[in-house]
Formats: sequence, C-alpha cells, structure tokens
Amino acid sequence: MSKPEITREQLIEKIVAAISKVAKITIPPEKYGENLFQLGMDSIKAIQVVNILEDELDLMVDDAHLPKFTSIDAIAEHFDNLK
Amino acid sequence: MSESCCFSITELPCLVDHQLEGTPFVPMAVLIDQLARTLNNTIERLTDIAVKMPVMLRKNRAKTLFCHREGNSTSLLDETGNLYASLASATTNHAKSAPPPVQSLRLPARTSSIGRSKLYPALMFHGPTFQADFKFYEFSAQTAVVELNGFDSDNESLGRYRSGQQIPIILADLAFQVIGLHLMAFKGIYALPATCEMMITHDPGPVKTALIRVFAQENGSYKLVATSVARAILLTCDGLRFQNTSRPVEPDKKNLLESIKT
Repeated sequence: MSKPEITREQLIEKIVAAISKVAKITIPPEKYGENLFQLGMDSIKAIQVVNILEDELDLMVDDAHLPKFTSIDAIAEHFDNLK
Repeated sequence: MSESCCFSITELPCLVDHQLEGTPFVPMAVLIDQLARTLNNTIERLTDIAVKMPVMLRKNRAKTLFCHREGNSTSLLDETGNLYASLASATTNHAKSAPPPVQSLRLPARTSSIGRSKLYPALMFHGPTFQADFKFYEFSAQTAVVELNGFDSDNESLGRYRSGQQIPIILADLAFQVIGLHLMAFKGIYALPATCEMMITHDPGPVKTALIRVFAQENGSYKLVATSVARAILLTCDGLRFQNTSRPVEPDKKNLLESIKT
C-alpha cells in the first residue's frame, strides 16, 4: 500500500466529504482533531467512510488500522505516513 | 501449531445474513466454533472467550486469518500478528456454571410475541440464517425469558461449519441476540458480544425451537441458559459481556422495545 498522490489538504477534503456523505454531518476545520464519535459518527459509519476512501484513493486499508481512525487528523495522519 | 482459515461469502453464505450496513461480520458464535475446532473435536467447556477485534468482510472481500494453538489455548490472528479472538478449553468440573435445576425453569405467563418480520432486519441486522420468531415470557431489567421458534440450526448456508459444530452456532447467535435486545431496551445502546468467561455446550444437536433465559448480573455481565422446549439444557454461558457500539437506538425501535418490557 503506497501513499496517495494528493496533498494533505486534498486528502482532508476527501475525508470530510466521505463523512458528510455517510453520516450527513459537516465537520468544520477547528474540529478536525476532535473525536469523530462525539461528533455524530458511529463505528459502522466509520467503516463506510473508510470504504469510500479506499475507492477514492485506490488503496486498501487493513482492518487492524481502523481503531486508530478516531478523528479526521488521525485518518489523514495514517495516509500521510504511508511510504 | 498454526492453520489458516478463510472467511468468504463464497464459502460461508451465511455471512451475507450477518451484516451491518452492508458489511458482513463473522458472528462471534462462528469465531468460537472455529477456535474450538482448532483445540479438539470433543471440547464442551470453553473459557476466557474474547473477541478483541471484529472479523468483517469489508466490500465482501475474503479474509484469511490464522488459528494458532498453544497448549489448551487458541488464538485467531492476522498475518501480522494482530489478535482478533481467543479462548481456552478446560477439563475440570462444571460446578461454576452448573445449570439451574430443570424444575426451576417454569415459564411465566406469556406476555408478547414478535414475529421475525417485525424484528428483522431493522432491529437486529440479521438475515434469514440467523432469524427466529420471538415469544417474550419475561423481559425485565434483571431477566429475559424468550422462546425462539422457527430457526434452522442445521443450515447449509453455514458452509464448512454446518457439520461437526463444537457449539450450536445458530442457537448461540440467537441467544446473543436476546441479550443484544435486552441491552437495547434497558441501556439504550447497540452492543456486540465480546467476552465470555465460560461457555458449556450440553447438547450440540440441531433444534428448531429453544427457550433462552438471560440474567443480568450486578457486574454488568450476563448469565445465559438455553434449553429445549422439553427443558433439556442445550447451552450455558457465564460472564458474558457485550461491547457497546457508538450507535444509539433509534426512537422508533425504542417504542417497539418498550412494548415488550414486563
């Protein structure tokens, strides 16, 4: 699995769009570090968000990483750290 | 000793009937059965059962894990060593989980019946393989007594798990559903089975009707007794705990649950 060839801003844009599509919530930039589950997400919706990101970024995310995806920043960090 | 184990829709059609928002999840009962198979063909008493991470087939992708046995313990791991589930077998006496005497299993007056068409899939997210009609004899904060009818425990959709079951998979899943409903009704949360201190299969034979009694313990765990309608003990669990999800129970479902409380 390799790092997606987009900027962090574009990556965050995709994450926010996926969350909005699945959970029907809009998360403002000042809340990118906040816990998604306190902002209206749930664990099943989180899986759907990751599924969308896999399609959009053309990569696969191992299930073992999912528990780390607690905020928009944490998700972006994961993809940023890919080699 | 380690052996690979593939979970796929092709091999296990029942997984289509066990999904949340389109993502199939391998039922805890299947994971327990798989791990028990790794240990022995005649294990009846399982201890320290734990599902650390749900085994799911995102986008219906097959998932290969590895059963690793060490002594009387066995674990389900992925290729990088992440732990999904584990349990142990025990050979000592059954005293800790002695089932209640049969004469104490009298039924209270029946209060309500809910057919599967009302319960599924909106309430439970389970498809035909894991469905039953529910008759609620008691559904209070401390106890639930539910008769389950019309399920097929010898179902070909179980694929390789249809024969040689170490635990009665469909019965166990349905019994867990009763606790899931209890948590939804009295705690207002969706929760998934996660750990069990001890599970004893008294009779793995196929049944189509069963009585499930669950007892909420003060420490938050559940005790479970499944019997046949003739009161023969089939399955017992002690120290069964569920993991809360972050999904709240929707108001329309709360109304249905309120209607069955006693």
